[in-house]
Parts: sequence; structure tokens; C-alpha cells
Amino acid sequence: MIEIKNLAFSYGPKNVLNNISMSLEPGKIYGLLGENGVGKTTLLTLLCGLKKPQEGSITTDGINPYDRLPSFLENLYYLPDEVAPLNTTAERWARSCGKFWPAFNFDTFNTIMAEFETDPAQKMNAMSSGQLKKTYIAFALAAGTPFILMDEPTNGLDIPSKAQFRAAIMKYTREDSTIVISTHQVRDLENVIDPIVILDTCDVLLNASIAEISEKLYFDYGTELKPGNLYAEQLPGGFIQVYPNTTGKESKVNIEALFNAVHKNKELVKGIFSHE
Amino acid sequence: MNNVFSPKRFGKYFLYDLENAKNNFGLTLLILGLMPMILYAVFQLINLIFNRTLIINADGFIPARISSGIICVAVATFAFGTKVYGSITDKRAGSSFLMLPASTFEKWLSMVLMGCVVAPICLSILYVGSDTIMGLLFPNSFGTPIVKMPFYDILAETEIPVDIKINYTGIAWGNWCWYMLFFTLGGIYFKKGKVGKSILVMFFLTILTSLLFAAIVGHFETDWVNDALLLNTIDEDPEVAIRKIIGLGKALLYAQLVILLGLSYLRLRTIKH
Repeated sequence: MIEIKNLAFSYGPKNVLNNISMSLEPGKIYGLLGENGVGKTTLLTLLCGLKKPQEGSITTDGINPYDRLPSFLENLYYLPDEVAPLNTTAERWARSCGKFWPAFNFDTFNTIMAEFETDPAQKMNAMSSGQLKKTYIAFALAAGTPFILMDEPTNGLDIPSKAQFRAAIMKYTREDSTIVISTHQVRDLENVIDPIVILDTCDVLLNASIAEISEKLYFDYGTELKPGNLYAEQLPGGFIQVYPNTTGKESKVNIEALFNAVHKNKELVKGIFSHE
Repeated sequence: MNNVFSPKRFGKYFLYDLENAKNNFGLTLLILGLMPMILYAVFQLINLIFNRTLIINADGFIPARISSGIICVAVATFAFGTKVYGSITDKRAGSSFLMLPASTFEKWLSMVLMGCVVAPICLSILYVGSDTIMGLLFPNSFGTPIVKMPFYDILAETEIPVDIKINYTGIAWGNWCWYMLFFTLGGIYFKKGKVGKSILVMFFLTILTSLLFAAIVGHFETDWVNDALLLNTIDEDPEVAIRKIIGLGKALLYAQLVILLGLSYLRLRTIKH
């Protein structure tokens, strides 16, 4: 489990994270959403130990990530938004790096690369950005780590690859893994991420499972615009509207509409989902 | 699990680092090491093209050989750390480096061994090997191989008492390590202009230490300074004085190496992305 307590971080005078507390439990794929600059990447880099918290603490199964202990690092894989093109072939790189992660499976890496239609014999610095991203995604999924952090994994992927990514993440990750995916491309991951964490500047607006969101908010896909909605957007053939769920009816959560509703009604939504 | 040093994990990491060094600097090292062959071929090509004899005889080629040897060592020393480890200041490659499951100590130790042992040995073997082959194949135009040149005889003609044995190889290797570590530290510290800024820092430190030394020496009584600098004893007992100077030189070199090693470890431990 990842425990975050009163976490604060700033870049000089600019506060990015302030008094953030949450627990990230095993067996879940967290979607980390937020506007540009709210600290999604900063949070991920703090979680994997690339940065040091300025206040508060992060522990991953009791270990401080910033200590960068090998016993912690071999249980975690961090996929950044920008990946490095190396002067070696994908399979050579996977073979040499894979030795450091005890659960890494080279056959799984090759299988995922085949599903992504990417040649592992190709040199990484000769690949397109999409192919390179797919190589790193294949490695991340083949590493078999209990903790996987991904920053914008679908950026740069073509449409078929996004579907392949969704399938691969469900198929090749452990059931007890804690996966955190930071993304703007919510439609790419709509049926994958659960729970949803929405960050704002120095605040967590929402941290709830899809079931809880469906229980407390109603997503109306009707053709008539109704008053009292938290958010409404015209779609082909009608509207998507978000209301507090006063009737207990179930509805399909639209993550993009949820995000906009939360941002338009920050304090109200925080109150709805408050556990206090 | 030992999170500081595990021989098995270090072995894995060292091999990984070796492959990384080969990918990033292998070709450069090969070219530098084969420079005697390349230089000779270039000279002969110019002779052929312009129908002139640039190399009059083997003795005339020696300055070019010695100069190219010095330049090759300098280029390897300036560039190795930056080319192999400089990418850790880049967010992408640096994140991968930091997230690789090995301890900071293991990563640091591998970096030190690469820079102070592996690279110098590889370059020396390649350079001396290619120089020796050329010397054996073309004795008249290329000249005597470096390994057979009378360097020790030249050094013996200097005014040093003959019963003092000076470990020239050790001094050369120690100084080479100093420069390798210094430029590697520059490579992992600066984000841009790594070699240029390292050279500037070196000039600045040299000037600063010279000024400080001159200020300290000028401040104290002449006799005390002369005693410390052994200027009073050098005429009475030159052997003792020279041994002490050599000892002082070694101590200063070791102290600087320890500082460079410590700073490079600290940099790896505290780098953030």
C-alpha cells in the first residue's frame, strides 16, 4: 500500500502540492486526473522517489521512496511521459534491464511487443515516438512489479495501440498490483481506471471508486436539458448532464463529464464525497 | 536483502554499465585507441595525393605520434564521463538511471571503476597495441614503438638521487584518475556545456588555490614557511626533502581524489528529477 500523509511540494515560490493525504491500495488501477500544472507528474515522481517531499511523508509498504533502496525499486516501475531513445535494440535493452526486476518476463515482453506490432530487433533510437512508447509500456507490463506508475502512457499511441494498451494492462498486470495512471486522455482509459483521483492546485478534489461516484452522482444521457445540473455538455443526439444522485439510480460514469463537473463545483463535490 | 552492496547485484549492474559505456563511448574509444594507425594512414595518403614526403624518417614522425597520444588521452578524459554518464542530468535518461534497482553505492562504484580502471586500461591497450603493431610493421617510417622508447632513461637524467624509486606509472594513473573523476563529476553535475564548464571550474579552482597559497605563504614568517616547504633542508639532505615532497604530493592527490569521489557519490545520491 502507498500511504501519503500531509504531502507538500513546491517549485520555488510556486506551491504545487499542499497537505495531500491519501492511501493507494493494492489491486486497483487509479486514474490520476487534473488540469495542466496541478502536480500530477510531480506526485508520480514523488511516489517513485525521484523527488523528495518537502513536507509530509510517503511510504510504500513502509519504505520511503526517496531512499531509493533496491528492495523498493525492484517492486516498482515508473513509466515517464517522455522516454529516452537508447542506442541499442529493444530486445537487448529489455534483456539487460530486465535482470534487475526479479519478476520480469522476457517472453511476456516479446508477446506484448508483438501485440503492439513493434519490432523488438529495431534500434530504439531509430523508432518513432509511438513505437518507443510502446516498447517502454511492454517493459513496464512485463516487469511484473506490484507498483506501476505511468505518466500519460497513451500519449503518442495510435488508435489501435490504445485499445491494445487497454487490453494489455488488464491482461498482464498482477491482480494485487497498485497501478497509478496519470492522464488527460480519459476516453482512452475510461473502462480501465477505477478509482478516480482528481487533483487541483494544492488539493485533492475527488478520490473515489466508480461505484461510489455512480452512487453519489447521476449521469443523464437524455435529450432534454434539465435545470440544477452540475455540468452539461451537448453530444450528438442529446446531452450529457451530471447531477447529485438523489434517487439512487445507477448510471454509466462519463469520466470527462465527471472531471468538468468536479471542476465547476469544487466545494460541492468535495462535500458530497466527504467521508467525515 | 542488503540494500547497500550485494556482489551479485553489483555484478549485474557493472555488466549493464559496461554495455552502456560500450554503446555510448565504445566507437570513440576505438578510434582514439587506433589513432597511431589512423594518423600514419593519413600521412601516407597525403604523401600519395600530393606526391610529397611529409615523413622524412621515423624520427620526424615522433612529434606527431607523441602529440596525437596526448590529444587522444585528453579527449578520452574530457569526454568519457560526459558521454557515458552525462545523460543522468536529462529528465528522461536520468529517471531511468535512478529507477534502476541498484543501490546508489553500487552505481557510484561502477562509475568510478569504469572511469578510473576500465576506460584507461582499454585506451592504453588499444593505443599501445596499435602503436606497437605499426612500429613492428613499418620500423623505418613509423619509428620505434612507444613501449620501447627510452622514457625512463630520459627521466633518469634529471637531477634526482638515483636511489629514490619514483612510481611514475602510479603518479600518471593517479593523475589520470583525478582528471577522469573531475570531468565525470562535471558531466553529472552540469546540464549543459559540461566539458566547457568543467574546464572553467578547473581554471577557477587553480587560480583560487594559487592565490590562497600565495596569501598564506606571504602572511607567515619566512623561516616557518621555508621549514614547511623544506627549502632549508633541501641543500642539507636532498633525499629526505625530496621524499617528503613526494609524500606531500601523494597526500594532496589522495585528498583531492577522496573529495572528488565524495562529491560524485553525493551528486548521485541527491539528484532529483
